[in-house]
Amino acid sequence: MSIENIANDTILEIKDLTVHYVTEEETVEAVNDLSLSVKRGKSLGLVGETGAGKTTTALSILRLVPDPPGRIIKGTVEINGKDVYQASAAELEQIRGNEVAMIFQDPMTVLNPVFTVGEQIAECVEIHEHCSKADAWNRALEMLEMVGIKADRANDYPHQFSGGMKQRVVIAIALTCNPHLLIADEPTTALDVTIQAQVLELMKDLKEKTGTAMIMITHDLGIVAETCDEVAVMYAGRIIEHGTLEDVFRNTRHPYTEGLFNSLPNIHDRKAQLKPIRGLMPDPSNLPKGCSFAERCEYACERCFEERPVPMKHSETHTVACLRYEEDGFQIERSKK
Amino acid sequence: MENTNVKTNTVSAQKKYKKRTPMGEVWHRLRKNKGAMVGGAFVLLLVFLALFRDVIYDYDTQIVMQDLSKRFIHPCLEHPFGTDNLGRDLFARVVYGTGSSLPVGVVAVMVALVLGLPLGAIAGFFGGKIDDVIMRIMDIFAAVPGILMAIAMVAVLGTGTIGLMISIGVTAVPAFARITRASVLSVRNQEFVEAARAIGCTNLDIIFKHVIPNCLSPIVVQVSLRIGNSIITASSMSYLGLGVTPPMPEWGNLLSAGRTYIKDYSYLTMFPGLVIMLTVIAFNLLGDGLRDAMDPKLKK
Amino acid sequence: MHRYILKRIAMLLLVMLGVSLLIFFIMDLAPGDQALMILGEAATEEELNALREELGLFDPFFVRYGRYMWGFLQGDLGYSHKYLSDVLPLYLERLGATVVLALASALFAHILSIPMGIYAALHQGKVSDNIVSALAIVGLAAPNFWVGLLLIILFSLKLGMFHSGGFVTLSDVVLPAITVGTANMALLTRTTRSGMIDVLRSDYLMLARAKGVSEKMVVRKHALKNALIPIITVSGIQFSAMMGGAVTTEAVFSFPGIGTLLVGAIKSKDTVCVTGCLILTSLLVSVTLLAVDILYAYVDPRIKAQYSK
Repeated sequence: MSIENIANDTILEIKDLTVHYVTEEETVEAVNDLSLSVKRGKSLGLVGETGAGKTTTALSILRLVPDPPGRIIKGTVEINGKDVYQASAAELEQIRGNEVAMIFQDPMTVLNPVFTVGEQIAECVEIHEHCSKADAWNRALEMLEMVGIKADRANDYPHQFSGGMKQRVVIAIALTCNPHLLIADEPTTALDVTIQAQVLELMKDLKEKTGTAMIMITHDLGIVAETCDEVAVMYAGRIIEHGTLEDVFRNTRHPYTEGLFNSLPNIHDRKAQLKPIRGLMPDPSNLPKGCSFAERCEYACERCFEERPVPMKHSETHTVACLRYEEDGFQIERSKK
Repeated sequence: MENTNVKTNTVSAQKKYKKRTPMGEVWHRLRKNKGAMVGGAFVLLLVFLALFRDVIYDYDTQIVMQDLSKRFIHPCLEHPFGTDNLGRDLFARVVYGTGSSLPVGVVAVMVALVLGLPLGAIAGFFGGKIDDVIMRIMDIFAAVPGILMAIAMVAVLGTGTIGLMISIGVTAVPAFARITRASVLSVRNQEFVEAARAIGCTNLDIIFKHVIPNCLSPIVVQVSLRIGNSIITASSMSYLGLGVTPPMPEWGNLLSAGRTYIKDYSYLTMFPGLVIMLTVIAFNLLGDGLRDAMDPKLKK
Repeated sequence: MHRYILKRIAMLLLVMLGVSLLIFFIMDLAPGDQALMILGEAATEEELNALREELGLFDPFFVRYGRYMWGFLQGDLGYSHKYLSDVLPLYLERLGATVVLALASALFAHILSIPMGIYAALHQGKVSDNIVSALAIVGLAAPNFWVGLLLIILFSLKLGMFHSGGFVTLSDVVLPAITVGTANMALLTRTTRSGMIDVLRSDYLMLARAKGVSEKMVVRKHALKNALIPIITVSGIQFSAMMGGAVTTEAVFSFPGIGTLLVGAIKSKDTVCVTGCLILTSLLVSVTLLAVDILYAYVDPRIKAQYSK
């Protein structure tokens, strides 16, 4: 594969990204040595519990990590071959919204309360497509219809919409300019369960229609199974397991990923006890020396507390960061079954 | 036997976690705030000067006695703020004036507090018609601009310290009533009030023992900020000739006296104004610090 | 929306009725004898009593209040024996100067405070922010009559750029406007800064940036319109307060506004003039405040929705 081909095929390439939040009292190591890539038209699920660094990762892709206190310590983020952190202000504005769009977690707070939803969608068109105000407005109306909101509501303000409707507006904003990559940061967490399904369905539909690549950030494995081709599991700012949906769901390797599956209710065996992962994620301002998961891990050995594991390839697509696999014949419970 | 065991356990637990009282907690945070500590120290100094002004100076010989041979001496070592048109030391008069300006500010705010706090608490606690009536009356008082209201009241009460205190105090009543009402409303429906009612406390008991202590922090902050404001209003009134009248020195009337000689002896207006400003800054810094210390959530 | 405005106007009239009663009551207690003012010190007690009888000063309180309000509603606020004029034309004449001063000082305060507040918010924690915050603390604490005197010393006595008092040419407004405007500017700077800081942390600015809106437009369009809401509250209160005349500033500059009118009347115990001025001023202040409240609705659609309910 030539270099040009990689550039054409890969939309997003993150290498060794490390993001810290530095305040006077402490340094929070939110993201550590994270590498990821997303190919055209593919979707990646980024899974992990609250505080694992998923949102920081998403924000750093668009160079949106608030500074202060956020600092990019090292690493590169390339979008279509351009380094986001070397880009000029104008280039950055071109990337944001046009090449990469983002859907935020809480639709209640991300819409500007003093502009109509139509204005907020049209603004995105005006910036990127350099068209007349009237054309932008018409495009905004189309987008509203596309996400299932009647166009005559374009002149309404955000406070006149329900949470689910607001998230539809946010989705409309994200998709107006046909981005190559869509980052969805827990797009359904803040919504009622019934609305969640609707919004997910809508996103799946639109993704198929537009062919955009996607990063779906979530802590819900069910959503990943439904929407993603690839999965990356994050723990304490690091990706600890990464592979295709098949790799991670059927050939689970990392003890933490196993723990995540075990803590899901089992539909086939309703009497089975849930097996939550014991303990809590370590304080990200005070990460342990060895493997961050060691303290909670059933399989941890002495070495795990001393040495930090590096991602290891198990197959062409599957990488896992666990020291125990350096021993011959090591298996977790789940893969024995 | 068992009882003592429990006791020693609690004691050791307390030692271990260095439990602080709520006031201790506030003090601990306030101590870290440099501005508030400097402001607080200045306020303490002023209180000291105000209380002991007659120990420091003799009113008849050092404050009001005229010595025409010493007229208009520019600021120097012997007279740091210079002397006025009657040969009196301005520094002594400004220091002595602390005892006029500070009490007016403090007492005025106390007047506002004593009237405004119960009114606001009752309005907020009972709600309904009582609330409506009290707050409409407060609206009426608040509709007249503060200093105009004070001027009108002074016309009735007469100029001088007492009239000034009450007049300025009354203008601040609506502000205290509103703040108290708002905080009472926010705690009225919390569980501990329900609990107090459940064990049979009377309404008055609940208001004074349970509700007011829980909404003190915005009121304490308001007191500190208002004192600075009241000192400005009081000196404004004295400047206009509607407050403390000469020869008794007060910062506002010192400024007013200096106005006449502004062309050639501008230091006469510089120093009293500077002292007023520093005092107000001190109270504001203290108030801001208290707000941050009492409600750390608000800070960030 | 219209119903809300009507409701507020009704409420305002009710409050104003209370205000007039309160002021009439206070001024009724104040020393000051109209008969004595008219006839002078030389008059005998009999002459005075006769005039008091004629003026109805022996009538019960509410009869006198009713008579006064009846006149008030017809535009007759009584006669000022200090200024030798009817109170209403006197007031209106002085109002012009007060409005000019209010507008000039509002202009001064806004032009400086809003950019400074925004700049400080954008550079939060840096040296420039600390300087702006320190200036605001000083500006808020400096008594305005002192600021006025300092300005006179510098610009009038030392530099000779402006007159030190009176109101003859428009340039005479400059120093009083800066004097009144200093404290207002300080408060507005703080309001702008803290409002801006709140808004800058908001999620909707993050979305705006993620859309590709330039940083300049994020601040000017998305942030400012939101930060404007607390700014309007504060500047509304300030402007309405200035309608009551800047009493001390006017005194410092012998500026012929409502403040000096009132202080003069109080000092010569001209209760008729004081009563009229106080009621009119309170009315003006309340009306200005109401106008600001309604203006809100046009900036913040959420408030408009609330009003319409």
